[in-house]
Amino acid sequence: MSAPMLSVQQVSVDFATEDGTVHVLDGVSLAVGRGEIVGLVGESGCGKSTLARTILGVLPPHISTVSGGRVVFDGENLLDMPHRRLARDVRGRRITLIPQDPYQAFNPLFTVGTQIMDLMRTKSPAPGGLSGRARKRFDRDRVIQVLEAVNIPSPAEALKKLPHEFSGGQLQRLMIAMAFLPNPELIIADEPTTALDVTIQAQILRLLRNMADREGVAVIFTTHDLATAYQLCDRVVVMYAGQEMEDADTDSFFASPRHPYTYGLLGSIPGKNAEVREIPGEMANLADPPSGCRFRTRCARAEVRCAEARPPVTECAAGHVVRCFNTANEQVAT
Amino acid sequence: MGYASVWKILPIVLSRAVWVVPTLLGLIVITFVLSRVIPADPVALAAGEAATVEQVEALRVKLGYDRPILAQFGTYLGNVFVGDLGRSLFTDREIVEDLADRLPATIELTLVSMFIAIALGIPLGILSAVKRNSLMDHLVRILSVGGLAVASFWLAIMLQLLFSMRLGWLPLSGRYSGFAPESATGLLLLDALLDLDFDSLSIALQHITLPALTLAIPSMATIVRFTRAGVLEVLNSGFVMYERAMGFPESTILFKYVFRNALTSTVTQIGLVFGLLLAGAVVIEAVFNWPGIGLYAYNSILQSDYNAIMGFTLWAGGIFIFVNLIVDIVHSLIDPRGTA
Repeated sequence: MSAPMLSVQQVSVDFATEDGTVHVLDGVSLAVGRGEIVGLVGESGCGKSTLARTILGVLPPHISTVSGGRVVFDGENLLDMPHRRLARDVRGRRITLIPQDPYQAFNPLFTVGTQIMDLMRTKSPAPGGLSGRARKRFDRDRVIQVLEAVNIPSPAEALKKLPHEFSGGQLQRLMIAMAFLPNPELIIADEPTTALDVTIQAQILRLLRNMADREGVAVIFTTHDLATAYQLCDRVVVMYAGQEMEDADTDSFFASPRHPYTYGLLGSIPGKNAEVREIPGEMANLADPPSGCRFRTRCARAEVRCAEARPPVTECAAGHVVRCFNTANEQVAT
Repeated sequence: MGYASVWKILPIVLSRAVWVVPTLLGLIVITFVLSRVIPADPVALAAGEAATVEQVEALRVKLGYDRPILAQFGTYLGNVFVGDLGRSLFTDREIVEDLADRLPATIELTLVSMFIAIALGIPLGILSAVKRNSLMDHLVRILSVGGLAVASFWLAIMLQLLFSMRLGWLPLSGRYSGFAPESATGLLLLDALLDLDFDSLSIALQHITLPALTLAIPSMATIVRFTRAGVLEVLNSGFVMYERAMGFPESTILFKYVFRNALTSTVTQIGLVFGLLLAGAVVIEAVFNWPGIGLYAYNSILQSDYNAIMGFTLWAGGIFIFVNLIVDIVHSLIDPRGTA
């Protein structure tokens, strides 16, 4: 496999809180290839949103520090890149964001068109030679075309409306449009359906998948729902307490899951006949994480060595890595 | 430019304007009732110490204070509606005329104060929020808390001592040195500007500096605090996070998007701040001998000239209602969502 477009290597992020330093990310690694859709799955608080913000370089200032690792995008470490260049050339242009809550992400006092055109002013994919009126026409055409692609009825009219005049589903379509407008290489979709009605969620996911396939854009899709990841993603990465626990392509992941935490997640999906099992205990306290494996306090198969040493990340099959001592063991934990 | 069009806000303006009538009516009732429940006899005061009981009663009948309270109120209300606020119990002059003579001085003073409070308050509030917890922020916060806490009359006297008595840079009091030039609008600064009379402008400016500044300080402190809080709240909002993540230029985020959202709360404050200015004007005009309505009210209060006090209260209340109507309109222009 050639070098991936994005590779997150051993990234650690600390937050300063009242309870002391919290290691929100602890040596996370993952890779995204061109055009690949990667699902980042985990409970709330597992660090998936923090990872998304780390890649975008928009961690909350003052309280957070990246204490280690690299985020290599197209050969360059984004963590070293000067802030101005990152904001101008990468964010919103080569890497864009679909936020969790479209109601919050639009400024309520400005028309959708104003906000979209402000994005295009600095992030338009217009060829360098275009300027003035030609550039304006290009931008306008591109906006209309992408709004049509995300099924916004009468785009020209929609641009004149204020955010509160749209439904949540439509707002999220607009957010998706904005993520695609700059013609990026990578889109970070941070739980893009959580704030939406269940009936809308499937539509939005299908739209995202179709758009990404058509434009050949890679997507990092964070979710707490394995079923969604199964439908949407090429690869699935399961995170727990700031670490990736298992990382495999979707087929291999669902055919032969290896990590006890993954079994837990799979068991907690409500099915027709199967009884829903929950994972016992609560998310590890990140201010004072358990020694050794971070999951061992909730793991049905924890052994003595799990408390003594940190389990290695091992490749148990081609492209299938797992952070556990028990990689050979495949039976479903009870 | 994305701001709400006039047609869209017209219903909001009308619905607010309709409320002006009952509000004014309530104001008139309250002023009237207050003037009648105060445990002093305005007629006796007006008649003077030497007057006999018969003379006081005769004056009472003449002024109509012997009639039933509701009848008095009816007459008063009717008079107010035709613009008659009665006569001063002391000078026997028409109160409307007294107020009209003094109005321009107060309007000039409050407008300049308002301008100072807004022009300094909003930028300081924004700066303080953007540079949160910096030395600058702490300084601004100390000054704004101090500005609210300090007594205006004390500050006024201290400034007079410093700038007029010790340094001699600015005049001690009054609105103009000698006789003010013939005035078309009654606003000396505006007249001087229109006539390109820079000597007069300079004299008038020197006179207005200290009173306007002193009057502006509590209002400015309020505006600083609300702007700071507003900007901080907006900086933490989801759309700022989104715009940053999408690499919007920081200047666009701050001056276009954050500014307008933060302004909605500040603008609402400005209406209330105007009340501070009106109340402050009474004290400041008295200290600086500024020939405006505040000084008139101050003198009227000392003399228990009830009709004049009622006249001032009505004027102040009316202008306050008017300013807040304008604030509502401006607010609906900034926030197009129609919060009527």
